[in-house]
Amino acid sequence: MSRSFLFVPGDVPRMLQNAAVFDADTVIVDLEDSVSITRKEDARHLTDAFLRRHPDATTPHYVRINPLGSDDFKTDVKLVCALPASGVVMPKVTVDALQRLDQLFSAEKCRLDVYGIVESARAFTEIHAIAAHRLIKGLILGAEDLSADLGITPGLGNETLEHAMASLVLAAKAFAKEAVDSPCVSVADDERLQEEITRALRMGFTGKACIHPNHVDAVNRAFLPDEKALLKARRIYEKSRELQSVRFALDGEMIDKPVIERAKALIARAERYRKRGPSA
Amino acid sequence: MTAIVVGTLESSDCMITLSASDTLKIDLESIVYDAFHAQITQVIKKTLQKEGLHNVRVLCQDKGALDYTIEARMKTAIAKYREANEDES
Repeated sequence: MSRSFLFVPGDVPRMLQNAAVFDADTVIVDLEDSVSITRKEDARHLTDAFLRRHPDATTPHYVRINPLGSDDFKTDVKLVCALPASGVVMPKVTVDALQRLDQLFSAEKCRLDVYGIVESARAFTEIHAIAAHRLIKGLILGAEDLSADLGITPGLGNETLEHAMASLVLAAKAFAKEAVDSPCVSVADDERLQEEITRALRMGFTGKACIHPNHVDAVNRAFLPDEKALLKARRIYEKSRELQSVRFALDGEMIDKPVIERAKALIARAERYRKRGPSA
Repeated sequence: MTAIVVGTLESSDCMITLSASDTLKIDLESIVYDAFHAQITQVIKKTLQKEGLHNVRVLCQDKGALDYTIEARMKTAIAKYREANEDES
């Protein structure tokens, strides 16, 4: 499970080769929105050469392909299947698009994990089927495109957007998948970034996408369990083992099975991130 | 036919200009010419050889690109060069 997902344009060598420096848990090499229509081939060649020559075993590298329906979809899938990439990030995900991707994977004899970007009203009508799909590792909210599709202004406090966020989290959690918040588009507004991170944590997201390297550290730190919560989780877990019970009182609070399970998950998450780079 | 230009003059990148020629000609302008001109020329030659293209003029304006970038830009230039040639023939 990753906390931060850093998008890097697939056509900018300086950004590709420096991406690992920022300690994002996952790097997403982008062939879609950050690459102009006239430079798709350039980006594919560069991504191909970069991932073959600089395999980074410590940071998963995914590739955001162009969406189903675009001229580049099939070529992008073929490329990614031939690369040492961790998986695919699929924009404008739908059940149809996943089925087509699955067919192409079979034809190429490859099987990669997929993060689907949920960014259309239609995708939300089938979000449970998307989350349940065997290829899907996680769902990423695409707040900008979704807002355009809905005719709303993206931002904090928009009820429709927050309803969509909650639906995405519920669907992802129902099928044990990751729920990743949309990136903060205000590159130099730290306050806005913090507000978005706080909201994402409160709503149950497991990570957040970043389109600027400066956002990675704040996201990594925020998605680490805080020390106080971790200490309490350890006490709960230890007491349940000591008593061999899933029902007991601790500090005047009733502890039962779901609380113990939550404590175990928190400890596991802290352990996982403790082994990673400096910001963890 | 018109020359094909790919890549950029941004840091860590290179701009490749490919044009028709009777023989293979490689011109290199690089911010690290003294230290790396032989290595860069080798990457260009190897990529041309792998792609089976022999009689072209290559101008490489390098801003500190690593080998993988030079190879990728060359591959794109060759693909676009061939496409343009097919269109013209």
